[in-house]
Amino acid sequence: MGDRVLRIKAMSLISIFVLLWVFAFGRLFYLQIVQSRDIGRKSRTEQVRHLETPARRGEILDKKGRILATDLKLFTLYAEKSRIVDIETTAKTLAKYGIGSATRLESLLVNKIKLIRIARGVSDSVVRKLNLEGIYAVREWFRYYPSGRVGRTAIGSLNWEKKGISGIEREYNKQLAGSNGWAYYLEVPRYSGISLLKRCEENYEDPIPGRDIYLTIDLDIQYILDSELRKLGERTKADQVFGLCIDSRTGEILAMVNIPEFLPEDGWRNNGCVAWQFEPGSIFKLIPAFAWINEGYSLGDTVVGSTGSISFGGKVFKDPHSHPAYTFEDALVHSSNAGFVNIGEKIGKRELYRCARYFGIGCKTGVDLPVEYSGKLPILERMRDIRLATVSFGQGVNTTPLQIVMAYQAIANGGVLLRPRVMKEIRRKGRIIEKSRTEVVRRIGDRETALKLLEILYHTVEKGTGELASLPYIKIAGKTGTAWKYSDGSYREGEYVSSFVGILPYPDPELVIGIFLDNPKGPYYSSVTVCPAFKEVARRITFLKGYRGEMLYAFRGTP
Amino acid sequence: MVNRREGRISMVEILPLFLGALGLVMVFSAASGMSVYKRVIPVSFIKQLAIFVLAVTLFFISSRVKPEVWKKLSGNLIVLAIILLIFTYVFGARINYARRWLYIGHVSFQPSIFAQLALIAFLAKKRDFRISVAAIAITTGLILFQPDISTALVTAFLGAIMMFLNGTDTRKVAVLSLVLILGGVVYIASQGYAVQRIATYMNSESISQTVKAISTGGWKGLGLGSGMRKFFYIPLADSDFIFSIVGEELGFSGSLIILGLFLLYLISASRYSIRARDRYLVVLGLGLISMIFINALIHIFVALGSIPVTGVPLPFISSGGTALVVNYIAGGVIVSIAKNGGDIRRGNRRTYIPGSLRS
Repeated sequence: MGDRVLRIKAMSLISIFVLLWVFAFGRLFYLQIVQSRDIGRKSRTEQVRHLETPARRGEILDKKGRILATDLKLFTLYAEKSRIVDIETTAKTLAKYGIGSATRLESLLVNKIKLIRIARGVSDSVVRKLNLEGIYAVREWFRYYPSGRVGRTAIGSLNWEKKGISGIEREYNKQLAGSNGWAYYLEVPRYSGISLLKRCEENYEDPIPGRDIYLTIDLDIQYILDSELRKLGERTKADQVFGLCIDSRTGEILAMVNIPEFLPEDGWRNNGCVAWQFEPGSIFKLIPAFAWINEGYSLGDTVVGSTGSISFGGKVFKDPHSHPAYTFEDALVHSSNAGFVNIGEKIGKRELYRCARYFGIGCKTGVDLPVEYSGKLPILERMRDIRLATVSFGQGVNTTPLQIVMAYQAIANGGVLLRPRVMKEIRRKGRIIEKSRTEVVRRIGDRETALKLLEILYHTVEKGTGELASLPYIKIAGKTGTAWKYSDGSYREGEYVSSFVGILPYPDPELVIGIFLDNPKGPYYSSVTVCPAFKEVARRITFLKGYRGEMLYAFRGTP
Repeated sequence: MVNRREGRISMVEILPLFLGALGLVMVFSAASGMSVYKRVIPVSFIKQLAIFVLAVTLFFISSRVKPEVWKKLSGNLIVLAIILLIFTYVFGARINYARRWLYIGHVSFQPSIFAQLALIAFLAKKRDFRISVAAIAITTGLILFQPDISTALVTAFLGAIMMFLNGTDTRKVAVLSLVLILGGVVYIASQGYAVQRIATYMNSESISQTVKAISTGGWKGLGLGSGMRKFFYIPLADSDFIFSIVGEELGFSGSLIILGLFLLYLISASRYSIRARDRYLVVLGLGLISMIFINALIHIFVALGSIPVTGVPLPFISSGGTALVVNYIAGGVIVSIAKNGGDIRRGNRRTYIPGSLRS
């Protein structure tokens, strides 16, 4: 009897236990099978982080391998407030290593923020010496431009996520950036509330460093042009100055100067050498002159009488200075506007238009730089006589500095227009993987025509408007230009664009150097403002390049 | 007849050993997490290994001892347990505002768990109602004032189960349980930390780390040793939350094996106990398996997030010295009941037949 009762009690007790077990089983099944996908996935991402390992960005170098932009491995310091034992001594120790002033650091550390960035760009050697509780160093790549402002507009800059936003950095961002690696990190929570990330060593991918870009830029020439144009800009108080130096035989851009040079902190500005559009003025006369010779007109034809005035399309064009009767050659050498109105009339708008198009006016040059503008050539059908007359001496047409320089390059290169380029080669670990080549855009005319024109340009520097640009020991061909500045719908009173493009050495040209001066104050004539600066540039570059043989020859030639 | 039975292995004998071996593996996995991170040897595993050897030795000794011994010793045991509890209250090491541990040199000992065993052994013998209530009240009260509410509650319920089994008037037991529950509620309400913990449990919308760990496991688990939650997320992963680690690393399959083994153990142990020849042995066996199973359930329910967090180790599996030793002794007693307590009066058919589940 007693046993039976005990048996029943025991069975009921065990039944309760089994019921509870069934409940536990159900709960286990619910959590591990039904809910697993939801909760499990959520909690997996919570504790394991998939983070990118930034790749080293490739270097940008000049044609001789001098560094223009490089990535440095530096550290960013963070302070975790709750871990810092003594704020004052920590701040003093940091200040001792040159990381900011002690008072500033102290005020930062007293701040309520749990984790605060206290310094960027701290070097490896300093970090190795630092051993402070609560101070963390995070390794980062810092972009560094050793040449400072020199050539910075062309080189470009990066945004906060290290993506190129201007210049070479933008054009070749893909090659420079490389590809980021990744790794899994275990998030280790701590009582202070800030988790530590611990890298899991089993599964990761190393970053692939970016490729190095070798530019056609020659840092020596860049420095020369930069310093001379800076001086010129200061002297003339011009709004901006642009300078270009191009190898006429290959189309390589050897120097590209923007004054003032663009820095990211100055705000956004395009590279003016390819994006500044202006009315070129007399420097554009190269093109009608080329058309004149190409059409077979004689160089000795008189194009303007001693009155210095031409009437065309119901308007009278008069040269500012009185002069004798000019032949074609004289008109170019002395840059007579009236003469060129006559030349324009003779060759006709169709031929002028065709020739300008051939020289690449109104088209992008195809240089490997971002944000290039095409300039503007009036549409042939809508070109009235007055417009034909002004285009003949370079007004009423929009160009960029690079277009003008490339037009002169075509003349220097015997009538073959090349594509300008900035990238020389791309290297991976020192091995060349891509190389840019000289690209011919088109032949614009006969070699003889180009040589004839080049000779006249030489005379321009020898005895014409470009006289102040000439050097005793090297022959230079060139053309000056002083244009009325057209902006916002009207010509500006007293605002000019002075420019000079020089080709040297004559008669076997190697370099084309263009200088463009936007709105100089005081004397604005190109022949007195830009030419002396060009002379200085040419002098320094020829010394650098070693044209001393030419110099001796020149001395021997003179009695 | 006795000779023929010797040398055979039964379910109640093999299950504790199997669970213990599984426990060693899991403790190694759980303890290695932090020790690898801190670059130190997994001390808790080495400790566990030593205690495991001791516990298994005691398991075999107690399984060889005639179970009637406990009937004789039960009075002394409960007195010893009460003395130890008083000692703990006076000399115990204070850890986190509670005195639960007694240190003898470097060896620590938790008398409250021993008291559960002693109480079961004491109440398995049919005793006067007042003496039974007094025994429960004194042990429970002393544990409660350590304070260790969860262990006290378990002890009280074990006492109530023993009284219920032992034929004390069921209505009296029900009233006693009610008083216990009310007293427990009043006491918990008077203790700030416990209220807070329960309130956190009730109010928290976020999923606890242990539930996350178990859910992460899925069918197959992340694989032995590759769980992540043992790093910092789950404190005391090798003792109070070993089931969470099992769930995460071995998945549903592994957890179900452990859950199933405990059910198998419950059924086989209670079967052998019910068939014991002596009423004392029946109640003792049922009491001991209740102790093991209730602790297991509480541990598992905590891990599954069904009840508020409380530190109860999983029998045979979790690290933790006293509990492991006491559970193995209890397991040994169950084995000895199964081996020696066969009811001769009912004939061989109903006696223990070693090596088979069928009886």
